[in-house]
Amino acid sequence: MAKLLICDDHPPIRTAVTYVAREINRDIKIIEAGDASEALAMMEQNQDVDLILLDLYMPGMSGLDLLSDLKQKFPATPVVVLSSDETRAAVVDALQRGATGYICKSSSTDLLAKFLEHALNGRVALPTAVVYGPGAESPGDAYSPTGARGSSPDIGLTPRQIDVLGCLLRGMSTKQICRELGLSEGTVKSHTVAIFRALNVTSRAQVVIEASRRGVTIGGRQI
Amino acid sequence: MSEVTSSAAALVGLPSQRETRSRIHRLHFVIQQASRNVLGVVVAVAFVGPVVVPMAGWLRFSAWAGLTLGGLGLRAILLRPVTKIEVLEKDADRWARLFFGSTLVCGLIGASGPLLFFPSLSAVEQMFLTMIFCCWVTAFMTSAGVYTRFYTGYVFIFIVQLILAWLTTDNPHVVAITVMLAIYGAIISRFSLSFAKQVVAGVEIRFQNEELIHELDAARRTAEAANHAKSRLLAVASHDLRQPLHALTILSGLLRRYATSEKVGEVAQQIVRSVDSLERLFSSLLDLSRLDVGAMQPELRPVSLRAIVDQLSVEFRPRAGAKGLRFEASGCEAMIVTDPMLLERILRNLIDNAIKYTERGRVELACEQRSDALVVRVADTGPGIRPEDREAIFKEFYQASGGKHRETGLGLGLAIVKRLTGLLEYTIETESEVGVGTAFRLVIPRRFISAGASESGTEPREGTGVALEGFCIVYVDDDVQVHAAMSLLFREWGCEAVIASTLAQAQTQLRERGIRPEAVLSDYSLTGNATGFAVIEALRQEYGALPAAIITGETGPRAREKLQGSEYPVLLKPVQPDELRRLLEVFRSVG
Repeated sequence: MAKLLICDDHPPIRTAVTYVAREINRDIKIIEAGDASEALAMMEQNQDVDLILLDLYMPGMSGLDLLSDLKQKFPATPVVVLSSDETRAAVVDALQRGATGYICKSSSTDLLAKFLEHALNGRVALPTAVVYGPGAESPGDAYSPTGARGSSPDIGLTPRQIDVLGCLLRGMSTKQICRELGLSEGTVKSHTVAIFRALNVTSRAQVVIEASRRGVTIGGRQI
Repeated sequence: MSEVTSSAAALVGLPSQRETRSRIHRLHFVIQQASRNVLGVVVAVAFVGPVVVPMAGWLRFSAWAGLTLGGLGLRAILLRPVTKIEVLEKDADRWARLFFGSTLVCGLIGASGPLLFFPSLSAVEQMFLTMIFCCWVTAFMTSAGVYTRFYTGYVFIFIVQLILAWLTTDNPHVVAITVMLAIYGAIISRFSLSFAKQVVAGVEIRFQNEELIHELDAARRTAEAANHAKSRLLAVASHDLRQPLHALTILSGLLRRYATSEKVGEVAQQIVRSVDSLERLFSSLLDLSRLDVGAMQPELRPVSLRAIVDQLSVEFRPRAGAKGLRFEASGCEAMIVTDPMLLERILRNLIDNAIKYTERGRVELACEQRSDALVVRVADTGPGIRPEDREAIFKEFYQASGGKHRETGLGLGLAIVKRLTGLLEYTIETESEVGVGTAFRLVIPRRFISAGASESGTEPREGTGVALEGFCIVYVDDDVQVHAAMSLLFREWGCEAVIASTLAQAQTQLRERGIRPEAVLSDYSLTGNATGFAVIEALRQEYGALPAAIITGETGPRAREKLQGSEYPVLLKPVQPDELRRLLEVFRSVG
């Protein structure tokens, strides 16, 4: 059974998101946190959380710092940012720190539902403007990948490299990937270099953006 | 003497802070003026000399002149510290006493001249001397006249000594002269009273003005701070204010989905629309306040103007069509360095307005080239803007049509446009004729036009700038001829490179320079049957999991077979700098 942690200091947002999540999956288990320390405590108690939805502005700790903290302590759990900051810089910053996706709060219900569905299915979800640059509609618009649902398009990676990519998309560090996949650090680095080259990117944030563009799923644990 | 100092102050009521300051300034002015007046005394003495020396002799004149000028000199030395007003401020009363006292003593000495010389002079010369001394005492009014009582005392010393001098003579007109001198003394003393009032009033006004300017300045600053605080409050608060609004958007959307009857669906649809306009209003207000407090910083990057124009026409053509308007767009093939989000916002607001206010005809989005700028023009065939409104339309909450379109906006669009154009350092020109239409021209200065108008239409990839400064690379290649070229390339990128022909050489260099490598590049086949793999393995053993790549010039089947399953990227010689740089950027971010 899927389990979702919503971290936002505004109860109305948590309520609204809860409704939308139940629209997608009637049986989804939802837990809520109103600030950073609550979020960390919730994660301690519920190691089986499948997805964290994280607001970037919460009392107690900057959302970005909390994001780094969560990635450090719970590397395998994907974090999707839920924010009203729609600037490209904010999105790239969050991705660089290990977010797997980014949802704008100003999205319409349909859009939010689509985003959340993508995220729960392990697909990277980002605002169109970030994926395609300006010229795309507005940052609130969803990206709907053309690839077949649930399967990653072939980008010429070995199965092991796809595993590493999944870890990268979940924001895991090299050391965390070594532990997760039982590989040596050198091997993980080589795979990472191969992935960057295959996607033709030079940074972690770009890996996520490219993955979103190509409809790559993060694989690993099935949600 | 302190009584004298306060006498002038007493003219304008109780001493206040300003009163004290003005009193000190007055005293300072008088002391400065008095030291300047010494020159006048020198002139007077010089006039007296030729008259009295032949009759009274050098000795008497020299004694008098020496004492008079010496006294003034001594006074000047004593009062020298108070050329700085700060010194005077510390102990005004003491300096006042010193000044008044020393001046009276000098006056007493100077005015003794007639008594001293009259016995040796003829009546005409006595008259001449009298005139000089009257001038002397009158001229002194320009400095000490402010202090009426003090000045009266000074006049008294002079007049009395003059009268006494005349009384020693046997002039038949001595009574008349005495009376005239007394009257003269009374008149100039009296006159100094009004002179003092004028000066005091003048100084007062100056201080009042200074104070008013001060108060005005403080008031202005308070107002500015308040405005800033308001904007900041709005910026901060609107984040929290928008949260329930976001929730409302989502929930009303759900309500529409759940609607079981058509009526409920309709109402839900209306709620969605209301919330939507509320949301837009909030973001406009938020943008405005963020712009006002300078919280919005442009993120500049090169973009294709054509792509932006194309996008906007895709977005707006249907809306214009729905209103029966033609939408014409023509883009320029130009790359500009801008914040695309903000530029789009400007154009979107302008086009939005054009469509909103135009009932028939067309809306046009076009580019114009100027020698010093690129111009994006948004024109319509709407009602036009009256000349008197042309400035006002850029003010917030202003709507030229008097609120007819209120349902569709708050009149914030152009206010935001104005601020955004300022932020991006563009200008906006308005051209309009009532009944014919309006054209807004967004003028993008030449310096924002990107020189590399290459890859027409395509976006340069974001983040092509992973810095390589200080990145430490080991490059092993037994082909010494490429060393120089590689070294040059690495230096240009700011990398710290260890370039060697063999593994051993590289290791020695690393140890000697005491640096840790962060990446390894090695030629595949090295001298003595060594391979690039061995180099990488050895350095990884020593320095941990370094990202690495193989470089090779061999394309033969055997080498290809060897390199086929390599876990490292393989670059072919000659290495392309772009390809290499990109690889190093990947290495650096992989770490």
